[in-house]
Amino acid sequence: MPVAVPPNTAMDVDMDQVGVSGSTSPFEPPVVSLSVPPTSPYIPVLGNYREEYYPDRTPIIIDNGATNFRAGFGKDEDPYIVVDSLFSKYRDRKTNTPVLLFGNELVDDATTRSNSKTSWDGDVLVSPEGMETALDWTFIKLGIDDDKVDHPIVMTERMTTPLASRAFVSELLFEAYNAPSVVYGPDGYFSLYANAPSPSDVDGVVVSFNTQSTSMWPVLGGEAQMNQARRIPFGGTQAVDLLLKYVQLKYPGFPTRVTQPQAAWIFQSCCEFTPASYIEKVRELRDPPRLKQFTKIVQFPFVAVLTEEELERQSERRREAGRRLQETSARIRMEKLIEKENNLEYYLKLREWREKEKKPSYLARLEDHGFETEVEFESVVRKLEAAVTAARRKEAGLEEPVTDEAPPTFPLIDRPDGELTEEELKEKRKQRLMKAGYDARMRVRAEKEREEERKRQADRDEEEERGRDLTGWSARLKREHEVIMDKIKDRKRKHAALSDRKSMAAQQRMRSIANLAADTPTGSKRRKRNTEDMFGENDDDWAIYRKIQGGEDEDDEEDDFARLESIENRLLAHDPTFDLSLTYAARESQRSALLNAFRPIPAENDLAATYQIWLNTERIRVAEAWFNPSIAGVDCAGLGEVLTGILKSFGEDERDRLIRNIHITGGPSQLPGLPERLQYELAQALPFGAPLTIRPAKDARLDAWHGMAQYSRTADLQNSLTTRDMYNEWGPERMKAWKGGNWPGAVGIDD
Amino acid sequence: MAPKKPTRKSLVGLESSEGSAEQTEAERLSFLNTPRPFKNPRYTRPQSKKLRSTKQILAAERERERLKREAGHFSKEVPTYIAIEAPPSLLPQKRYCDITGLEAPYTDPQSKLRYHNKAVYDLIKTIPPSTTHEYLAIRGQHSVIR
Repeated sequence: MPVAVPPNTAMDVDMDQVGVSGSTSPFEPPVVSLSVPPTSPYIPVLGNYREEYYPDRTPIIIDNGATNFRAGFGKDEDPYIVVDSLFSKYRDRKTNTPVLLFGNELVDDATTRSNSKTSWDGDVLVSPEGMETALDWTFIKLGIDDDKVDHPIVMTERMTTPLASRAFVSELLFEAYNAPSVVYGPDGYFSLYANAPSPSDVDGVVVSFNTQSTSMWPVLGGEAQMNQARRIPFGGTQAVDLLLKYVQLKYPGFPTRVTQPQAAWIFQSCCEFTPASYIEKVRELRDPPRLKQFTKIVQFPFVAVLTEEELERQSERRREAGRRLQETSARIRMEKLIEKENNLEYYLKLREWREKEKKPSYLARLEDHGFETEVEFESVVRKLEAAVTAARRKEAGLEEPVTDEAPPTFPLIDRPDGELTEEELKEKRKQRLMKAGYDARMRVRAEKEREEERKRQADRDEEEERGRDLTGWSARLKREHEVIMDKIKDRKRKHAALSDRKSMAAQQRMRSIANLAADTPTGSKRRKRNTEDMFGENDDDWAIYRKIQGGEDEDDEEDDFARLESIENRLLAHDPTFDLSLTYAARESQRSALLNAFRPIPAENDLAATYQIWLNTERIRVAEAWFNPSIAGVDCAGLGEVLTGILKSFGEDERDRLIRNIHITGGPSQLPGLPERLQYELAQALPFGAPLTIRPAKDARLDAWHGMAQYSRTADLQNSLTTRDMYNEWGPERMKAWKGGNWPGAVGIDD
Repeated sequence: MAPKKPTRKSLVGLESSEGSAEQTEAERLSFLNTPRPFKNPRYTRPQSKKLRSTKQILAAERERERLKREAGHFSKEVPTYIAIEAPPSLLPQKRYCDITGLEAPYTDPQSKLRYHNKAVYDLIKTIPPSTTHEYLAIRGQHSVIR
């Protein structure tokens, strides 16, 4: 059939491609470019407040989260305001005007950023100032132009919030804004509410992933069972911090600073929960190819390399600078030469006076010029003469004259002393010394020549050997190579051992030192019998001093390296089986396949690669901290264990009602793999066939707000409101008890 | 927040009409002087309790719990912020390599770092003590020098 042909061919092509990439080219991990989205733009003031919301006094819904602040009117679909929960208050240094900013209107400049604050410390609301800023800004944006905020307010608070936090929020709402009533509830409850088919009598367990902590509590028949609530002090921020630390330690010399928002982006786009057993996944990743398969590469932005032309221009500039430098130094040299020549000329003229006047007056003349004696003067003149001639020669481009003089003669040496005068005797002594020096030089030269001849002979021998038996020759050299490498390795080990005070080598050394220092050395038994100290009789005795010296034989080390290099060079030149990868340097720098898959070292000229971060184990390691907080240094049970504990405190009927709806919500719950992982963890502790169902929130970020809006449209709202009168009677910490609310401070529950 | 003085308002208006180019983005967005008609003009934030630290808030929680216990009102059924923190784990702790995150059967006695195999051990030998410290700090195992 002609219709069936195109899909078939398409599939064939696909299969081919898979085959090709699988067999020939090695797997290259996918590269994702870092792209942190810009913050959302300026939010205008709501224009239709009077018409739309004022007549009904529509409830105002505020989801006061630690990361995001969301607010709007209860009859809308979505919150009008979704911004970062940050404020910044400072005085502009240039214009001296005070500035107050909130949310996404925080301008991206250094002053604003350095002054930005949050109302939260950890997961506790601590800043009345921050809350007041947030609420001021919100009510401005919502367009409220009445003389009070005459709307019931539905607002989130932390699960089991400290009452001091609630107190200042209530104070603000009732006293600063004259709000008529308020209801507080934990965000997770409202998210559960928004996702339930019949919200008013919903069953389930809320697992709420918050910014700084993770909270969970059961809800039966719509009533929060706060006595079973638990909080794990590990949240999204901690996870991002953890990822950032791993990245910083993995890439200590990374060319740019990885910022918190960038780390958050990487966390959201690359990290995931392990769907089943973590330890098994980790065991799988032991295999370097598997580890590489699991890798994702994050490409950071970088400025491209200079073009060919620019490089050329740069080197041209460098050459030009070099030339200039040379010219300058030549000029300076010339100037010096001229100065010396002038000096010389002057001194020579001075010397002419020797013939013209008597000695004392000549000497006085010399003294006027700073010379104590005539000898001193003469030596200075000689030196100047030599320097001038040498410099002239150099200027003319001539080499130093080759000192190939004929052997000097020493005529006085062979004459007996008796024939000589006093003067000549002195001269003879001098000549004898000079002759001895000359002979020694000659001997050294001869020795050098002999040595060179020996070396040439050895080279010839070796060449002959190589010609006769290449394999034998290379085997011998390789053996030697091996021996030297072992020696170097051994020395390294010894060195490491000596730096450890408790090691065998270090203790042995201390013992030797103590022994040498002792008055009566306790050596071998033989020496005990023979009380006379025979140290030094055997040449090996002296080795003890090298032994106790510690950081010994640096010379040996240099020798070894020189020999190693010579062997390697010869092998490289003549043995085709020996290549660069077998040299000592290559072997030393070789890294294990595992570490290479974990974090490869980028090639030096590959600029893009130096701006890359490879993530593999980190991708699961970070999220695993929710299930095993000890990874992040948090001493507390993980999600699976805590949830199991909560479920255990219920009877079978209630438990089955709860596990049908394990509701996960909050930002980090959107990472892939979480539902599967929770299923895996909880199923282990539940009987076979238990009706366990994990239900992620439809919109993990906004469902709390949606639930609050939904709740505000029901008749239940009226019964849960804490009114102004109640506030006046009970004080700022208390609130009316309602079924979704917190228990602490709730009148009727917490009395 | 005290209501703005009218003089100030007119000043701001003048500035913006004269040279809005000189206004920075931050000043343009600043809502410090935006009218807040909904706000009680007599309200001032109690300055004494200006910004309470977490420590103080949690101390207040503890104090509240103590008072209730003394008054005989205490019930375990109403948990406090402090009481709901998850307990330490009772499960055996798995050990993971501090460098690679893989399983770690070994611990380096010198640096106390956990490591996966010999290759990682060789790497550990090359890292400076400050880095070792940072690795341990992730697990909360570093010794804090005061």
